Order: sequence, then structure tokens, then C-alpha cells
Amino acid sequence: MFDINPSFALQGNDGQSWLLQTPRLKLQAVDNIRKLRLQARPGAELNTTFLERLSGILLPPGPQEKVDNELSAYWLAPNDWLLVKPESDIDSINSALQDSSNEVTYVVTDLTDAYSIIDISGEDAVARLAEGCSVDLDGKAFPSGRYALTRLQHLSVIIHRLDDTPRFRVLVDRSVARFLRDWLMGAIPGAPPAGGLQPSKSAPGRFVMGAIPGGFVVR
Amino acid sequence: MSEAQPMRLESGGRIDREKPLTFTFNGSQYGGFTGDTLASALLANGVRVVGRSFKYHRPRGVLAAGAEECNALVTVGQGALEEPNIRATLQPLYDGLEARSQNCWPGVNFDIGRSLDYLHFLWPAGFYNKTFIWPGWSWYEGFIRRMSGLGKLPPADDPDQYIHHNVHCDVLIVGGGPAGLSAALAAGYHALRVIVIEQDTLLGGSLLWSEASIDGEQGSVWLENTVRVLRQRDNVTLLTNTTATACFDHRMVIAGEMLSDRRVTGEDEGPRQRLWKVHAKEIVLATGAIEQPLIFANNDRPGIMLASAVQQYINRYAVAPGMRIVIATNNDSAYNVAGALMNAGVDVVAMIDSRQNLTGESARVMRDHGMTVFQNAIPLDCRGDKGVHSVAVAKRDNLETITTLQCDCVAMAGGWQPTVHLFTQARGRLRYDSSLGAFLPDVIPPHVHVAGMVAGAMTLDSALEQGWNAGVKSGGSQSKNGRPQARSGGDGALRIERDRSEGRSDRQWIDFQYDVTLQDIDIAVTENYTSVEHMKRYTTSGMSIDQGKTANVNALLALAERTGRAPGEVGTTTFRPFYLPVTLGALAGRNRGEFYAPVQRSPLVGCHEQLNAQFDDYGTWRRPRVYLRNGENEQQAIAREAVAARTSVVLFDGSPLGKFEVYGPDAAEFLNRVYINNVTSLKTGRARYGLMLNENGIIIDDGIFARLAEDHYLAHTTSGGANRIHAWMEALLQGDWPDLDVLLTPVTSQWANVAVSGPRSRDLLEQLSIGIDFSAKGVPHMAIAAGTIDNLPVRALRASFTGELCYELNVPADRGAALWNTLLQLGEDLQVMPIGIEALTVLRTEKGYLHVGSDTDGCTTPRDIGWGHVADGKQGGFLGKRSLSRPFNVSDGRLEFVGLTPAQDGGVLAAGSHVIDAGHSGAPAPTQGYVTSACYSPNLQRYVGLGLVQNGAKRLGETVNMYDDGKVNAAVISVPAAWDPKGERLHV
Repeated sequence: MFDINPSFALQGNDGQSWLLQTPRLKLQAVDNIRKLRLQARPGAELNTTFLERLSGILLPPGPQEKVDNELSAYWLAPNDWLLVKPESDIDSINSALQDSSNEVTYVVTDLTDAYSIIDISGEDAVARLAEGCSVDLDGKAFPSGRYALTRLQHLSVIIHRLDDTPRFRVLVDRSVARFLRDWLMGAIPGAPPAGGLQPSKSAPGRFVMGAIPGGFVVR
Repeated sequence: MSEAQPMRLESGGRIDREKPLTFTFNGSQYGGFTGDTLASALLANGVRVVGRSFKYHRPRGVLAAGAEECNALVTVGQGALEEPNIRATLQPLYDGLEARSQNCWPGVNFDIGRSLDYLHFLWPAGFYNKTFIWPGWSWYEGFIRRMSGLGKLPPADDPDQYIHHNVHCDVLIVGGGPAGLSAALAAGYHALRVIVIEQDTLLGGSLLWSEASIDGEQGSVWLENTVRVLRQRDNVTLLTNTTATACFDHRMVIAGEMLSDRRVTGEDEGPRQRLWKVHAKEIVLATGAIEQPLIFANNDRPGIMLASAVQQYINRYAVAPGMRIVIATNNDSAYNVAGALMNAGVDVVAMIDSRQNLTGESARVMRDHGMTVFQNAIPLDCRGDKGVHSVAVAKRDNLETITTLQCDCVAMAGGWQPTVHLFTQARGRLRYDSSLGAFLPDVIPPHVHVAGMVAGAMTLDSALEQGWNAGVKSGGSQSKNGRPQARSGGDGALRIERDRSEGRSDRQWIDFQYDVTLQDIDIAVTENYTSVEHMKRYTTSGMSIDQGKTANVNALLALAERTGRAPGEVGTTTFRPFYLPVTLGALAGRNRGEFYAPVQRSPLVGCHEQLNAQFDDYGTWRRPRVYLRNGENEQQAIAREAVAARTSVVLFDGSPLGKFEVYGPDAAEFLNRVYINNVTSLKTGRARYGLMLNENGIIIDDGIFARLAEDHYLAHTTSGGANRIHAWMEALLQGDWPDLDVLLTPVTSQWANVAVSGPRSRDLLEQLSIGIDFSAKGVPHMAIAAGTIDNLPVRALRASFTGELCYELNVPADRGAALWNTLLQLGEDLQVMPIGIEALTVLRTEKGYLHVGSDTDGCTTPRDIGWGHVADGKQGGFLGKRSLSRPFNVSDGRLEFVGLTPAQDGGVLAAGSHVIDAGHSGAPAPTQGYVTSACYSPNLQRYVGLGLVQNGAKRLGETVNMYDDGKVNAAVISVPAAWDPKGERLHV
């Protein structure tokens, strides 16, 4: 009875894909990435081999570790990770779990839709993030691949430096993603370039935000 | 001298004479130059009276040249851009600047308030504690309130933008004077990240206005070269026009930077100020020192200034504060000022030095130049109401008047107090140094360094050396090569001799801004306020806007003298943040308006916007209040939605509902402990309404929990309670019950929740084919079923908050909008419509469903809401159980949850009304509870209400009165459910 519009999977938050671009800053919703939360009982001795087979990723043992850009696992708490895997399938993870003889209580929960991902890049990226985040985001202290579980404008986020463009990936609860997006792009007109935070007057920001039609089609 | 600016010197200064500016002060137009401050421009134009003092309204002129200014506080700008209490000494001059005096009426030159000064003997320190007792404070309060305060709030919202910026560095250097620059040179040699913060618009500190020779060059040349070198280093950031104003834990320093000012350019050019939050590994404090005034009679008259300020106005701004200047001092630093004045061609009438023996080189040089130096002498009194015109000189020993000097300016040099505000905020400890007459850093906290005058370095070379060493200790260059060296002028030592204050103590000012005199200290001591903290609060010394930068040391010394203690024994008051006031807008940054606090939105927000939803904030969630259709007002729309829910089918976005998964072999046991309900007996696929209590037996949240598998539950909380309850459960698991094998996963945002409610809801859902049988048998009331859409999971929970047949469909959030739109499409024939929170509130109130937080308070137990039987009947323990049997929780007169029905047709019920006995027709009357929820029911065509009423459950049928803001309505106590009390509509 139902058919899912193929473009549906490309939708970002609130049914909208969006992109904000100025000469000094680019914000983009990133979708089509699975987010799986892997939890085990605190204090449980987890077998690294088991975990690697489970996730295909070496799980970082603590916060603010360096991780792989494409196959990321973020440490959330002891024995608690968020796996971020493009093109991954929770079923394969579950299969790995079934094969395991590990007797530890663990669970994998699909939180793909619970988190939103915003990539922020450009000359002003660090300054914009530094307005609301107290982590040292300088390239030397926070090199490419490093991530931090921290606060950004009062919100719990994961900030991950993808490269030295610089390009950062911000994961945030989807219910506040629009607030964060608006805050990140909240242009203050005509901020001086010395401020390093805003587009200049002569090159106003180009904001592209269009809803992609989607929905169930009744046959 | 120029005619237009009579006190402007013909040459010199760091002003740009090619760029003249005009400004107005108190409505009169004046001229100045780029590089001036408002204070220097006013002095250049011969303006002597700038403001009025706080209490006595005495005329006051410019006292200082920097942050310590306490007299020349003015209001700058107009309308929304108006800003009060601006220090004229820190306000850069710009074309078109408009400034005016404050705290005076009708004007600064003639102020009615001055009458308070003539009656000053009536208002000494603490007078209000003694005076306004009869007939009562309230009798005086209005008048006192009108009199108090400095400056006025702008009449409109601040239109400017402010931003915050976090930055990390290896070395933060506060102060861009000689010591700070020397530290920056040392620290900046390596790849350390160095930030230098300077309050002034220019780097250089005292090098901007005093003669110096560094590394064989003139001080100004060395300064220029050094700044160029530092600017070339990528690892060094130089921030001028930036004030480090507070130091917090972990060496986080708050600094305010002035970025742009639309008052200057006439255009909005972006953020006005940036609030830096600097996180530093090492901090070098090179904050300098503040010169202190001398205490003598009428030492507050316009034209009496700090000696260093006089030197700054001469050398930096090419302004002569007077043409005949008397210098009064107790230390050697004033002799440099005398030299500067002589070089500028200003007449120095005489120097009055309170010290007995003048052995210093400077004094000898002055005498050789023919200057009159009164040794062992003090200024006794000054004359000149709106500008000093004479000073009486007396022998220090017997106060015998030696002579009276005619003058138009007195430069006073009372010694230097290091600027230790940030140092003490960083947990540094002070000691009193009697040779300097000042409190100096003593115990220096780890990773903090002090250099320059703040550390007691009173010569340029020692300041440079200390700065360099501080840079080295912060991890910079280990080499002594490159350390700047200065040829010291003079003999260096201050040899300050603090003097006992003599003469009329009621006319000798300690705190200029708050009008605290020496007599006030005497009164405080007499009345036994001898602790420095008590003295401060009794006299208000140091409590003013400038926080006593020029008052505290003199007040402490006077207190010490009058109580026979050493100054170190008296101690200091606390140097609290902020060193200088920070604009409220800068503290707020962008955290205002839309960004005041994070806003949560449902994944369906786009759908609601398309349906003309009117949004409101419910807790942290922004949700549809009502959906308006053509021509409707809100009441009509709410009624339409509420009626449709009882007659047809409606959609409600329940996505914000708190949701988390509970996994593990002990999941049932865990939930059994946190709910008052029996969880273990719940069968897989079924759901139950549960209450959670805290340890005191008080209801803290409610919601439906469902068993998805033997070891897997889905628990719901209220929308506002999701995070709180999850954190509480995690705390229980990790702290109290670590033995339970349970895992919690919050999934609120993962699922979009669409509640399909109404008698036709099944008709609508049966058009879906998602693998779920929606029949009464397939999904009975309080059951949960799973299906799939495109291989994605769908959960259908049959539970109701409306009192009608209702299914809550949960799909992954990205699919929520599609589901919502599909249901609207499928239900067109059924006239399906969305409903907002207001209609839901009507429906649940009709049905008597309580809302935790609205219909419960901080004392409500399950028994109070009619759920005592559930708690009592449960086998085994649960959180809060023991407290339910405490005497108070079972006592007579508890507020119990009931329904309320208007006693007459057309009667009104209002939430918040107090329940009073039917025998009372108005206040005062003892309250018997209150109405917690009330609204007009379009389905019952009357008002419905819920309330907490004393012994309510035993009083069903009783008529009581409802007192509401002067009106009284009669109501009958009833069962909560006014709609379908038997629940027949749920089980269809």
C-alpha cells in the first residue's frame, strides 16, 4: 500500500535539506548516515575482538580520542559508544551479536533519526563554534580526527574535526538541531572581517533551504 | 595655547591634530582631536565641573586619567543608545559625541541637590539606620528611592549586538605596559600561544606618557619596535581596547573588547563588544598600579587631580589641567610630574612634600631649578567651589599655616596601590608593605605570575626584568639575551611616608564617588564597626561604581590608625569581579531573544507550520497551541478541535513525549522498584499507566510503560520530565542498584509520535497496511503492537489522554512527516484534523486525567489522587513506599484530587481559584485547596474543573465557594471525570 519516495532518504531534519554558504562559512545538514548506540553494562570487561567484530570499528576507550573520519565511534560514557556508519546496516551488527558467545549484557539501539549532523567548515568555522563552546578547537590542540563530547550553546553535542579546511562535524539531538542551525547561521549584519565571525556586507550569505517533497504515496 | 581649546598645548601629545572632532557636553559644543578621551577634551576646553557627587551633590571635576576615575561619570548617547556612568577618562572622543552630566538638577553648574551638602552634618554615615525609624521606612522610601542611584536606564532595548568568544592560550598577559610587553617578548619567542590584553586603545602603558630610555632608545621608539615585533609573530595576539575584568577558576579570564560603535560611525557595523573567555595555562598579571589621593580638607574640589593623571594629560593629550599647579606628595614619584610640567612650560607654583627628610636626587634637582619645595608640610585646606583657586600649606608637625598658594590645579601624589583585583580573584594573597604604603602580592597561586608595578616594581628597569622573568617562567625563552633594559631615572625608591590626617574630618574625602569622609570612618569606629568588612558596609566606602579604586587603601589606613592596628592586621575587603563594569549586553551575548535558551522542536514542525499552527513554548518544547482556520479566533478553534476529538478523528503530535528503552534481565525488577505499579505481572505486548515517586512518596512523574519483550520495556515520561527522569534512573542504577543488569537508552528524539484519537480513529487506521490489526481484539486498550513501513519499525500503542479510542503511532522521526501527511490525506472523508495542546488540555480536563505538575504539587501522594489502592496492593517494595505511611502523608485534611462542577448553569471556574467554605462569600477565608485545571468544555457545554481540595474524596456532592480575584463562584465537588466517567468509550 505504501511506497517510499526515493528522495525521502535524502531529507534532512524537519523534512528539509539545507545548506548555508557564505565566503567564510558553510553549514550543511548531513544525512544518510546511520547512528547506532552500543551500550554494555558499566564495568563489564568487553573483549576488543568482540567489539571490533561487532562494529567494525576500534572503539575509543575514553573521550576526546582521535577517531577515523569515515567509520566513527564516539565514546559517550564507560562502555557506551555512538557508532556513526554510512551505508551500514543494523542487521549486520545484530548478526555479529548473535554470533557472539559473549555473555555481557549489551544492546545496540538505532538512533539514526535521534541525532542530526551538521557539518561546518570555512575560515570562520572555529570562531563560530568558539562563540558557544569552551573546548580548545585550535588545530594544534584539536587536530583532524579529534572529537569532543561537550557543550555548544548550552546543548550537548559531539564536535569532530574532520579536516583542516577546517571542517567540523557536529552531532546534536534532532529536537534542537534547528535551534543550533539558526544559532550557527545567525548572521550579525556587517560584522567586521577582523571579528572573523561574519560574512562581509559585499558578499551576503546565500541560504538555500528547500523542502524536498516526500511522503507516503497511497496506491 | 589655542583659543578654541584654551588648555591645549601647542605641541606634543599622541593626538592627531589633523583630525579635529566636535562634541557636545551638557548641550554646549566643543572641539577636540582624534586620540582624545572625553576627559582630555573637556579639560582642553577648560571644563572643570563634569559631574556631581552621589550623596552631597558636590561639584566634581576630572580626578584621574584611567579606569580609576570616580568623579567624571557621564551619560553618553541618546535614546536606546544612551549609556549611563561612562567614565569620561575611558571614553574615546568621536565626532558628534553627545555627553551630559548626571545626578544633578537642573544642571551640573547649579544643582538643587547641593543643599544636602550644606546640611551635611545631618547625614553622616549610617544616618538612615537611625533616622527613618519613625513613623516608618515606607514613609521615606519613595523619596529616598528617587534620590538614590547614579544615572538612568536607557528608555529602550539595547539595539546593539554582542558576541562571546572562547579562546585558549599558553600564556595570557594582562597589561600591555612595559612589564607586559617584556613578558610577551620572552613568552613569544617560542611557539607558545600568547595573548596580550590591554585596556587602553594603545599598547605601552606608562611609556605613552612618561620619559624613558630602553636599550639605548627613547621609550617611544622601543615601544614602536616592540609592538611591531610582536605583531609579526603568528603565535602572539595583541588585544587593545580590551579590559580583563574578572578571573575565575581554572584561570579563565573574562575580558570585554570594544569592537565597533555605531555611535562613532553612525552605522550598524556589527557587534559592538566581544566578551572573551580566555582559558589560560599561565597568566602573567602586569596590571600596574593606581595612584592614591591625599587626604586633606576639601580634597574633592574640581581641579584637584592625581599627579600621574596630570602628567598623562600633559604628555599624552597635550592638555594642561591648570596653568598654575601645586603638587602635593608623600613620595618621590611626583617629582617626575614636576619635571614634565616644567618641560611643558606649565607653571609649578610649589611642591608640598610631607616627608621630613628629602634625600632623593629628584628633590635636589627641583630645588636646583629654583622650584619651591615645602618640606615636612601638608596641604591643609583648599578653596574654590567650582574649581580650586588656593591651597593652604601647613607645617606637618603643628598644622601651623605656612602660606596660602594661589593655583588652579592641585596634583596630589599619595602613593601607589598595585592593581591586585585579578590577582586576588585568582586566589592570590596580599601583604601590607609599609615602605610602599600598599598591599602587594604575597602568596602567588600556581601558574600565575606578577610583574611590574602590581608586584611592587617601582622602576622601569625592574618592571622590564620582572616581566621578562614572568615570560620565562611561563614557558618562554630561557635566555637572558634579549631582556630589555632601562636606564632608571631618579633614585627609584618611593620612600613613601603615610601621614596622619589632620583638620576637619567631615570635609576630608576618602571615597569621592559615594561621599565618604574621614569623619564617617571615625563614626564607624566609634560605633564599633572596626572590622574592615563592617566599616565598608556601614560607611559605603568602596561600594561605589569604581569599587573604591582610589578609596580603599586610604579607608583601610584610616581605620588602622583609628583602631591602633597595623594596616596588615586590618586587611582588605574582597576584590570581587568585575574590575570594571561590563555592559549587560556583553554578558548576554547572543543569548537573548530567540537564542535565550535552546528550543526543542518536534520532527513534525514543518507540518504544523503548513497547517497554520500557533506555537507556544511548553517547557523547552515549542509546540502547536492551536491550528487556526479561516476567520476563527482561538477559542473557536480550540472548541472545534475538542469537539472533533469526541465526534470524529483527530491527530495530535505527541513526539515530545519522553521515551526510553529499558533493556536487560533485570529490567522488570528495576521498573518494579521505580513505579508504584506492579510491573512484573505485565504481559509482553501490554501497557500500563504508572506513577513514579521520590523517596518522600511524592509523585514526580507519570506515563505509560509497555513490555516489548521479556527483558525489554518502553517507558514514557511527561514531555518535560524526559531528561530529568532519565538522569534520575541512571543515578539509581549507577549509585543505588549497581547489581541490577539493566541498560537505559533515551529514544525520545528517535521516534515521531502521532496520536490518532476519536471514535473514528480505527476507521482511519484500518486504511493503513503496516502489519498491525487495529481491531479491538488486535490491539486492545493498553496494548502495544509492532509493524513495519518499508522495513522500518512502527509501534502502535493503544492508550488515551483524551478519553476516546486512541492509537499512538511511532515511526522513526524522519518518517514522521510522511506519516502525518498520509493520515491527513487518508482521513479527508472523515474530516480528520490536527489538534493542539489547548484542545488536548480541554479533553483531558473533561476526562479528569491529571497532569503531573499542574494537578499535583510538591506534596501530592498517590493516595491523594485516588491511587492509594494501587500502592497499598502492590507486593514488594518501591521507591517512596515507606514514606506513604508517614503520619503527615496519611493525616486528615490532605489535599485530594477531585473534579469541580459549577453549581449553577453558566457558572464559571478559573484555575488558581481558592476553595473556601460555602459559608464564606469572600476573602478573608481559610483556604481549603485550589482549582488546578479549569476550562470551558465545548462537549459538555459548561465549565469543567479539577482541583486539590482538603479531604476532597470524602466530600463528593458538597457545594463550596471558589474565590477568584474578588469574585466568588459556587461549585460542587465531584469525581474527576466529567466525561465518560465509566470509561466506556475507551474500550470499544
